[in-house]
Amino acid sequence: MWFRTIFRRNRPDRPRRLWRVAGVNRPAGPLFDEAFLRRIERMSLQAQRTLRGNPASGEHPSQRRLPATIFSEHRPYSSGDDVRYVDWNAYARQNQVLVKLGEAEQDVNVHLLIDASRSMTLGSPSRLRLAQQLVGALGYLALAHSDRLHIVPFGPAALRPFGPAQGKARMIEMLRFVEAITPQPETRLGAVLERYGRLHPQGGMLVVCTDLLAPDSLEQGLRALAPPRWQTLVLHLLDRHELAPTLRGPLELEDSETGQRLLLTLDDETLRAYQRHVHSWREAVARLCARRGIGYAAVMSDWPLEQQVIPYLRARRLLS
Amino acid sequence: MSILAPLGLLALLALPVIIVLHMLRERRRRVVVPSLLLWQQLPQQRAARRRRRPPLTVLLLLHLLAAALLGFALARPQWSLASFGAERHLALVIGTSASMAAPAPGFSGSRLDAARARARTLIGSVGARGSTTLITAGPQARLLDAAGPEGAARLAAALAGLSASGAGSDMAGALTLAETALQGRAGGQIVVLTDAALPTLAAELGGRPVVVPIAWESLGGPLDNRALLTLAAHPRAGNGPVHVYARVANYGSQPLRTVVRLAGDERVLDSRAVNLQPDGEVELTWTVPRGMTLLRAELDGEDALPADDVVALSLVQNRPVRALLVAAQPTALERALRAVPGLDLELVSPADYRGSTADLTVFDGVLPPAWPAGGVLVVHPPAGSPLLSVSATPRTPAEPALSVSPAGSALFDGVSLNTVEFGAAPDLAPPERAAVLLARGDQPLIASWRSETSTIAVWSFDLAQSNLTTRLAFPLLVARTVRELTPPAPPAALLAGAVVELRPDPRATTLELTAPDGAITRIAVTPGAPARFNPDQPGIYTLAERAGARLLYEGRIAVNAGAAFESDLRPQSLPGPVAPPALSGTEGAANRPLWPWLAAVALLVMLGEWFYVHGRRAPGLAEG
Repeated sequence: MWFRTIFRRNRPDRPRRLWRVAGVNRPAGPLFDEAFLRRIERMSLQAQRTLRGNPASGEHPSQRRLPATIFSEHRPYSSGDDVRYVDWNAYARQNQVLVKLGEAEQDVNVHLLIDASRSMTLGSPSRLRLAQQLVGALGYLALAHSDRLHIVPFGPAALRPFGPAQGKARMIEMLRFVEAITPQPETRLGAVLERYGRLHPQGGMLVVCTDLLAPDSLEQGLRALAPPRWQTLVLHLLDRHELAPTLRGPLELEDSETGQRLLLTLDDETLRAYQRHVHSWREAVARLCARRGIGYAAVMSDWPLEQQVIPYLRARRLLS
Repeated sequence: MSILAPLGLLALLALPVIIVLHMLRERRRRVVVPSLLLWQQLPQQRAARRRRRPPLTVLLLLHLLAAALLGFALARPQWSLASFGAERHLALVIGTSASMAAPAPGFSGSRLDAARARARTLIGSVGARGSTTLITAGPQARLLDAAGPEGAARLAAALAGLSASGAGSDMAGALTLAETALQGRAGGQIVVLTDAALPTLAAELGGRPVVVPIAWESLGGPLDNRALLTLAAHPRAGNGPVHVYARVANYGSQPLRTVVRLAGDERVLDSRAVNLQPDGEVELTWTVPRGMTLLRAELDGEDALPADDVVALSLVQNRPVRALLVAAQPTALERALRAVPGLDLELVSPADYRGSTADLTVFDGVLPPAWPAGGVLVVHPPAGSPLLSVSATPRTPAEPALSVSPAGSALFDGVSLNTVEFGAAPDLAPPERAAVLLARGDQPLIASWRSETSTIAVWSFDLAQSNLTTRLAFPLLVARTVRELTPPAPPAALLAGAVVELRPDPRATTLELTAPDGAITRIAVTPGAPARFNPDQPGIYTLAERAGARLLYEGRIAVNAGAAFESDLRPQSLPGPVAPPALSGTEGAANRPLWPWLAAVALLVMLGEWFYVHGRRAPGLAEG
């Protein structure tokens, strides 16, 4: 089949290709299989009406009313209107030339930003793998519903993007692009988001898949992605061992991105303090997003994509 | 298991050093985390408290294990099949010198008693397939007995019969006996039970190759002792007074004062107080009147070793000789014989000769029908006797040069024969067993040999035809010939444990030795061979020479225990446990070096440590 190489099933009798990324072995293989794509094809990205799109195509509702055969309301005829949409019956009853207006549908810009920093590669399964799967699935939905898709991996800066692309014909290219994302040494999430918002003044739906482990200010970036032009969702990818580490004793912790080291002796008291700190950090991020009108969803890296992540996103009204 | 280089165990001192280093600088496991942002503001107040106790980490255990293995490897351990109960052959060398009679520290008995108890324990520890060989290391090394577990009772009886006596320990000989007993046996070991009072041990064993593992066990302790080391007299016989010399030693760390008593023939002659410094000696001299036969000196009081507090000396220098001269008329020979000290001469004419029971019978110009028992001197033997082949016509050889054979060197030592004219002499044909002591050209002049009960010397020349009697050499030759033909006096004093060779009267068939404790030892005399005597008790031995029931001679021998190398009871340093070097082939199969395996395991441990340290740099959150 034409997408055989992409939707190849995992074959247990065949050794998996391994490669080392920042000291981590990550299993290679298709992000998901063909059946999964067929199953999620029924879903669509739930874009807000406030987003500005192109009414020429697309399936998302628009705030704009256009002359249409599907009646919604009337407005007086003005010069230049298509005479095919003049409501002649109303003209007969009211002696006023009225034009029939209908619901306009539009496509939207879907921006999928994926954090490709080295911290995303740690954990089992790695957060980068889940992010690739998420971006692949969301990108597929965008292409399938004629949205303009932008996929932007980023590290310290935005990397070469995929798109804008539209139509399912770009799906193979899109999946290959997502699969080929390689880890970057570090990340500057705030700066990248701020710069990205400035570069795309038209706005659109934006999903950021990240672990939020970046030294710069997230608020600075989110300020550039505020509604109504942007419908932003921060998918916070979390590792279960990061929330509740099982490490004990004297340790020398090494930052996977900067290489910086920290001497620490972990006992129960220290771990409790760590967990309290992580909890307050997550709450602070969630409050920040809520204050900016930005969606925030925490996703555990060990959640199965179809059974747990997709239903969770539907519940969060990203998918419908 | 045995250890070849015990000093290598000093490397184990690295173990506490490693623990201290781990306590001072705790090595932390390196864990890669996604980011330090979440970790940087955590409290660290308990870190100092944790360093007070050793961090029980895998890394510490690996380091300790590697150091311990290397330390043991440096000690060069060996293991043998005997360690696993295969076979164990034990050779017990027990010191039995006089110093073993001293008290043993921490034991209610002598050092020898302690050695017996330890030996019984060791005999009981030998397995069913093992064996025990008992060897004593007294003045002479002696193999007592050897048996397996079934002969334990016999070995115990042999142990019970041991006594501490004699001066000196032939440790080298005892070890040689033990090695010989263990030769070819796998799992052999020598255990030496000694009081370590062996000042000359290092010199005796220096450079001695080690064939069997040796374990030294010291049973002695620091004991002070004093001893009478020497008692000597000069002259021992004669008409003048006798000068006596004695030496007293203090082998202790404290000065002491004691009294030395000198007795002659059991009569106290003098008592003298002496002050002895630590490790000091005092020399004493006396002048005693002549005529005494036995001197005895003793210290008052008792010390750790009473045996060396008494010393005795026999003053009998010469053995009395009864001589019979068979001669037609008195000659210069008679005068010379009478001048020999201790010789009692009887004169008889050839016609009156009916046989002789004298110690020495001298025939001048005549031969008896049969050789009498004892010493026999024949001067100018006549021709025609069946006892001796002598030519009828005397002659003077064309080459009259005199030659002394090696056998005659003792007789003619210091005697000048340059001006001696022997005149015409008959040709003597001595028996084949005879030794020609002096010859003139091809003509024997003096010969000597031994028959069953006689020691015979023949002077073939006629004294009347010779000028020998007018020379100084004549009385010397006569005296020396008498000395050669008669047995010597027993030694004036002996060291306990020393072996002495006695030359008994040629007529004697039995030597009877009565020890100080009354025990009688009878030695059968082999004609012509010396009798070996090994006195092990200090005191006065009585020597009796008998020919059947007839008493030929009775004398006394003083045996003393005091000796510098025996009376010092302080233990010397013993060699450490030694094992033979690794052997090749079948002999080496019994003992296998263990250190290569220990070193290999240590290397593996260090390799594991390397992987442990560097392999833990993998991402840490997932591994927990």
